[in-house]
Amino acid sequence: MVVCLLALPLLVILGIFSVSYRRLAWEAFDCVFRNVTFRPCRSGFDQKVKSAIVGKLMRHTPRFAGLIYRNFAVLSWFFVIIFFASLAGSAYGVYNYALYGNCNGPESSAFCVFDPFHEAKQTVSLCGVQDSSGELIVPANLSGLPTIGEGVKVIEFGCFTCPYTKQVAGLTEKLIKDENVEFVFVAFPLEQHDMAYEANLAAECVYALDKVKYWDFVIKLLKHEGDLTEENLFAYADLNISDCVKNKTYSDRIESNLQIGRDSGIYGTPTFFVGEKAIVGPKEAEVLKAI
Amino acid sequence: MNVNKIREDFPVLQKVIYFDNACMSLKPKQVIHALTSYYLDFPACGERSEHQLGKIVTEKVDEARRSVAKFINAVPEEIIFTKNTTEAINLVANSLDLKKDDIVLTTDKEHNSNLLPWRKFNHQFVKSKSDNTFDLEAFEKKVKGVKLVAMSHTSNLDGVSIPAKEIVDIAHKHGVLVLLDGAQSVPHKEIDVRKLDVDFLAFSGHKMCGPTGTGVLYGKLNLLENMKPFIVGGGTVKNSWYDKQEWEDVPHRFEAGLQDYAGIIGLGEACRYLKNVGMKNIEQHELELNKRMTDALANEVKLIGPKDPALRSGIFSFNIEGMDMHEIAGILDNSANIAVRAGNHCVHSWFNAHNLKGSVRASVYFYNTLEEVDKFVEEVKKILKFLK
Repeated sequence: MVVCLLALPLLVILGIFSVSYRRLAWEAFDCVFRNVTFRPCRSGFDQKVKSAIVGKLMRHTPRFAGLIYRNFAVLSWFFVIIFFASLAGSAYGVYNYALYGNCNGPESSAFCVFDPFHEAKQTVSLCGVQDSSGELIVPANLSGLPTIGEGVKVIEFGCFTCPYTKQVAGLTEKLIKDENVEFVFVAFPLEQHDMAYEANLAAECVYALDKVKYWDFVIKLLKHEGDLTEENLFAYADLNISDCVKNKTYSDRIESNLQIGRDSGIYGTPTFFVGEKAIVGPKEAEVLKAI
Repeated sequence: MNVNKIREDFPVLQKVIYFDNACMSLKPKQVIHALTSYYLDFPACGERSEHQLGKIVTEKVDEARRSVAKFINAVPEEIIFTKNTTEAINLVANSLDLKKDDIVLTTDKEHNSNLLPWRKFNHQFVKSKSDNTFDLEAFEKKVKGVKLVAMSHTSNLDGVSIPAKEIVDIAHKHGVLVLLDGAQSVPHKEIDVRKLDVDFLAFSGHKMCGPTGTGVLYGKLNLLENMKPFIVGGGTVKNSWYDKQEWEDVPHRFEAGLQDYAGIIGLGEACRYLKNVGMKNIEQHELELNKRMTDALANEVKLIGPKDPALRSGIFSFNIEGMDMHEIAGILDNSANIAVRAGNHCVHSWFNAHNLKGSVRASVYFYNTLEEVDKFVEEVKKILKFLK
């Protein structure tokens, strides 16, 4: 009975593609059906499977075959439990995938193997933050931070030189340009990245001088390829910010941003907050839309 | 008998140890060639069409009938081709002048083919002795008043043969007809219907190196001539009108419709093949194989039937305590390519009466070897040692 239960779904799937499995599937079904209706199995399917496995093992290791033979029922139950647990896990993964584009759920940064359409919605990695509590909390006080648009609030913590923040530059641009989204960008420089701090200083300088040009500057920085230099920063700013950067005029704002991030439990960039939900790592726009 | 030479005629033996001969024997190349020659060289209607191909078919079928008749020392007119033993027995059950209350006496371990056809009459049986051998005394007490004795000559369950000659003599003394189910005896030992004086003998081609779908009913000519056909149609009448018909002569009146010419020709070839090997050689060789098997395993497994292998033909039917018979057969198949049968062997009634689920049955034939038996013994011992 147990083996039949295990084999039935497998053989039904195989039977869709090959007629040779349909008879076996029917035997397995007959066995399961008769057992659940308290009648003995007629097809002997379970015995066939058992003897096939034990018989093959007998050729090589009779002792091990004996162990399997004597504990076959226990082993069968073990595999049945594993099977249905993994089936339930898979179903939950498919549910998550359908809803959030990642089989691990919206808040997970773990890799998801299930990606039939190659949409790359799942997180493969992120730029890690040291000394993080890891408990993501929506930041409470965002006053004074760069904000654009009206509507659904989306907050992004991003580092200008983090490759995974740069990977979602397109998404960030969409969020900036979407009038129905109230987008807040929290520049969050990570110390392991060269020029991250300098880029952030430059961004704060631009924001202080021209709030409209700030968003163009953010997009240009995120889309920049290759090593970032001071010349690049000044060129992208299209404003005279050299003194502001050299004097570290807005370093206190950077410290403030980092504190907001620490308070929110940010453990990697990019991290998005959509309403009460947090999404860590590079995502497609559909993931955010689904939320 | 040169077994190694014989094995060259059965190429499949290179792949498998085939011990399921009580169910189906293998076919030698000669039989397969005879079978295919019909389809390749003269695939036409026999006994009807007068053209050249038709004549060849008629000649070949007659030749096959003579070959089968010679095999059991009958005359060709006494040989009716059927599709198997089951049909042959059903033919007698439906064609012999039997009434509902007539007693038909069988053994207690009949194959369903020699049990179910008699249910519509007053069916009774002779209980076997405790070692599964035939109880002649009990038979003598029961035979009086019986209309027909219908018994398996050799049981497919345990290989035990009944004392056919004594049974026939006793039955005839009481004016009782005797039908022998020879499915397990005709392929394995010399059968002379004249010496046995048996009235009917049914057997299958597929258990004696012949093609599947072939069988034979032997009947004494005078009995057959007084029997009405069971299945009627083309080939069973000389002439017919809207309201009557003139039956064909025996045996054709019992062979309705177009026959399995290829199979019949193959069966004739199988009889010739077995004759050439020698039925006494076959019987002796099987006994030697069964003795080897029995000596090695009889004390370690639960054997069905008497311990003396000489009483069990080529059959070794057994169980292992605590193990399922189907699992044993499956393990032998998967571990060492040994083909045996597991189950009730169509003798459900006996197993039900003995509260057994079935048995594993190893049945040998003349092309099996002592080495194969040794391998079988080794594998069964491995099962006993590691799995029990």
